[in-house]
Amino acid sequence: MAHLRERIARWIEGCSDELREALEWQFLTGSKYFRPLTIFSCYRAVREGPIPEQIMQSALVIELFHNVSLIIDDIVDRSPTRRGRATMHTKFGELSALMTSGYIVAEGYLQMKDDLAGIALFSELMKRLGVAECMQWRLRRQPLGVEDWRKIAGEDTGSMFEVCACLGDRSGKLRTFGGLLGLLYHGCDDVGDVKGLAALGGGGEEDLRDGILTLPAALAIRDPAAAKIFCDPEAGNLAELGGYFVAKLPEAEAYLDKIAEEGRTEARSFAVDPAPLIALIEQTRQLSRY
Amino acid sequence: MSNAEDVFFGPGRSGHDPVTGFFMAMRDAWLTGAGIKENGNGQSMPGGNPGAALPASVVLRPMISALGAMADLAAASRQGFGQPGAGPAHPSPGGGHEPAAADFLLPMGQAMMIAANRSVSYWLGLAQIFESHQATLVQAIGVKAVDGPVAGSERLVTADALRALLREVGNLATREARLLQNELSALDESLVQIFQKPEPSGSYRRRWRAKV
Repeated sequence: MAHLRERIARWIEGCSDELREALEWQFLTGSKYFRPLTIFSCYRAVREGPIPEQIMQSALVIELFHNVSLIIDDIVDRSPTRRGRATMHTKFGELSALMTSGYIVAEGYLQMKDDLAGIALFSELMKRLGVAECMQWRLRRQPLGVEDWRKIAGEDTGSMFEVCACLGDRSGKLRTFGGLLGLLYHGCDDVGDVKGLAALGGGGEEDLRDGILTLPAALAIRDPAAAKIFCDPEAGNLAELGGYFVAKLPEAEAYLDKIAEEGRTEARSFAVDPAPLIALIEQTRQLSRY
Repeated sequence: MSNAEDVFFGPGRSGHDPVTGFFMAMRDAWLTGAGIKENGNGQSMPGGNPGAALPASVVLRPMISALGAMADLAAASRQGFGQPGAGPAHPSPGGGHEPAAADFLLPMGQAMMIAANRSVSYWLGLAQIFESHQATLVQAIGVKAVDGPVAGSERLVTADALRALLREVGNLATREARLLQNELSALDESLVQIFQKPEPSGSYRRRWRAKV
């Protein structure tokens, strides 16, 4: 990870002077590097030996693309802070934030050089993330179920980790594992938000306000009284709706345990060495338990 | 072969040479498969599980029989069948490896066993899924019959549970197919190793030059 951090710093040094401060603000503090870690772990699960240049490059680019999604998310959600610091659009303005996003994407593709399979995977990722965001927004404030949540989360965070797995193992065998890991991460994020945790970087107020279908929401709105407030916020106060979500936390945690078990089974079935993948599952599962 | 062996390995293999025994074991497997299909098409008990009419031993016997036949083949392979020229893998005059009957039959048998194993695993998985969703299914059918039209929220919950069931069935089929593909790929790779031509000798040198 230290090597990756150095690479990101070197990359920023070579970027335009105009955007350097914004890029340093975005990249040089607070990242958990969980997506690069997923790429490395998936590589380790199928091969031995040192991490090759192509995999290291993919890890750098996934971190770039992940940050693009964070910048856009923060603008859309009107989030003033992330991980306790001002978001890029708050600090540098929306125009700079949007233009920097475009710059990062273009740089990401350049960094991939002649890795055509990797480029195809990043293109898949950008398309799926765009579709997922639109779908999530279109389906807000609707009385949907856990299966709908699974579909949205699978395309949103799930697609990110699917691509990480494919970039790491380069055979597609761990794609399903990546999807399950993403689903688990998304669900833990949802549960953590309801618990009021800052550990995952965001609060749950935006999702509650916008009627976004989170895992606790999908479980809570099975109750018609909760569904009424969820679909029409004027019908009751958000604190009351939050109470319904909190009541469903044990059920949500049990559902996440099931997803984690699916992930472990997938790792044992398709990895040469499942240990690094199971470690990822355990680490992710802890995110909602702080 | 003793009576006890006959019970387990079936009549197909008794008194035959290993190759014939192997083919007869495969035939037994196909016949049993056809029997299960026929049973499922019309001879099952009303409302019962079509496969339940056949005891597990009947289904498993041909597989056991095939395993036994393969064991015979492996043994014969080691002994060269005791006949000159009939050996499964004898060295060629040039010292290379000449493919023989057993070299083809063993992988075929392994492929058959892999497929049968995946098939059984799929059906067991399916049974587990239906077992875990039994309450939902009963609720889906029963609530409307007892209480009349179901409330909107309850319908949503039931629909969600049924969608989960469908997803799990689909995922199981995909997963088993991927496992089957993996296992057959490994077998394919081992076949490539068996039939790979020997490396050119050390004295071999290419006779062309790279362009400058």
